[in-house]
Amino acid sequence: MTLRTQLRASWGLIALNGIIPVKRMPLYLVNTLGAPFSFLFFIYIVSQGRSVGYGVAGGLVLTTFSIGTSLQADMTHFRVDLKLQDMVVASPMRAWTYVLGMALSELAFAVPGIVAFLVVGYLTEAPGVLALPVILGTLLLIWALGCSIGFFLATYLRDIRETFAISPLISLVLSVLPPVYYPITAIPGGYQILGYLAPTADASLLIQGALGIAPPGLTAIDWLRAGAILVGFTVAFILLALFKAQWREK
Amino acid sequence: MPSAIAARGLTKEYKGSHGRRALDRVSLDVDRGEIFGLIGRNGAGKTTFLRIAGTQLLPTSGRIEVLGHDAVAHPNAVRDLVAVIPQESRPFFYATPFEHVYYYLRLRGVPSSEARRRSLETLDRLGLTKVKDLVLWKQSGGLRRRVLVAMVLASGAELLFLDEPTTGLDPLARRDVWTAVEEAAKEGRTILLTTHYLEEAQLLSQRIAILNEGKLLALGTLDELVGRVRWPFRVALTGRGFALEELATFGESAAIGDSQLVFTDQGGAEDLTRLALARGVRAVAGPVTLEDLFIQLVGGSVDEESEPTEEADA
Repeated sequence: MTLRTQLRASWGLIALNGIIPVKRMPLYLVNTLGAPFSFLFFIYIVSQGRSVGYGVAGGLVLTTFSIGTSLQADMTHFRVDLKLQDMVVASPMRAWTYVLGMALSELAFAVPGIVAFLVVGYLTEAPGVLALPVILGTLLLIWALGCSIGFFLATYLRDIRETFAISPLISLVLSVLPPVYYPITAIPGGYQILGYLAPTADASLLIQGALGIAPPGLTAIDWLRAGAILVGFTVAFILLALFKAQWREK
Repeated sequence: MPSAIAARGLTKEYKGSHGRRALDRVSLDVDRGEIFGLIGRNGAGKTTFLRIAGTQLLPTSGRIEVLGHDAVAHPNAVRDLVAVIPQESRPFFYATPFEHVYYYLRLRGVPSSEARRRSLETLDRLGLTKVKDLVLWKQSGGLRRRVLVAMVLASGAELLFLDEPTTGLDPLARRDVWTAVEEAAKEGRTILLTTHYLEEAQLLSQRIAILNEGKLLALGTLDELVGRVRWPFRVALTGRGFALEELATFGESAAIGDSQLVFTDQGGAEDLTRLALARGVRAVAGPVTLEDLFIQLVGGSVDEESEPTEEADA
């Protein structure tokens, strides 16, 4: 198949794994949006409406990063339970088209949440002119990062139940503990560097900056460091997925 | 023209299997355009062979060419030409039969209008037109299995790997699948079929290979395989009109429920049938079936043991 045909082929997966399930079981959307909006609600109540922006930035990051954990579960399900991956491996569709199609299909569950968070962000904060491209660019990186991690792990998991153990752990380590839903300055000075080490925290910081709610006192080096770490992690995990994920089993 | 599949010394030892080989130096050729049956007990290595040929699994050693391409070194060249129904595969929960076939073709790169035409045609061939727009979560396991068969048959691939395609189907649905498989072979496509239904392998396959504990035990047409066994005829006797000692003089015998089954040679079959008729015992004589052969060659039943896998032994 040509490159164009491969790209078109990914549409089959977008339909089968994204559009059709959302159409026939809209409750999936509630599940995808539940956690990020719960955090937003909690932050709204606790801060008496003052820190909604952090909830929006965190919600955008968590919703987008969750695509990766959903991808991990779906790909494990397709490989282990349905054996669909075996059917795809033995077909003209290539591994990257499969991952792209699956990753895009997960957007069907996440896009409504992303749009909702953007609307809330624009209504409650004062984003700059370049806010939207910065936010979308950051989300693109987080999407690629989450999907690379998800695909890599999915090729090694032996049972769908293993994803139930791994996904919450990843969410905890990368979405809840680091400063994704709160400003990095809330971490005592000497330990802030640990916050920067989580790519999701860097993404949240960049979005906070775009929404105009970044903690004061951050220097250009802080912004560059956040961007570099996010890009670095994303590239590293894409390479890991490319070279270490098992498409053909050994 | 090269064979559809040419395996030489194909060996697979899964990590952690403690030296037990799922495939042990298997060499065989599958001709183009034939339906080739691969039978054996659970754990014999059938699925491992299929997955290596289908480029889903790497062998430990040996060579395998599929449609003239090295399946290990150039898997993508093979993948463009094959389609697979994996063992125990299941369709999507939320999609209809039409959506399954149509989108499977789309992800194989078939243009939309062609995918639509082929989907409708194949679903019709398998008797699924009436249910083509029903969501599969409400449908029977047999119907779901037939949808998978429709997906690969519609693919137009030159070589089809069908790993137990009719498991769970009722007899009529199974016959629909058999007809569709035979039609695919008539179109010049090669089919590698594994099955636990020996009647199915006998009916569909031009040649049959029997695997046992990873080794190739026998390969040939049914007649060639029959030529290899000691007792090429069977006589089924209704009731218990004979003592087992008496039957032993004709060959090997076994009691099955209220009947007796005797494996013997042609002369023995004729003599025993005459004797049975003289005693008023109903006797049905004929050449051995594939199942008889299988039991004589392998011993035991079809459903024993499990194939060593990395998962099972981890």
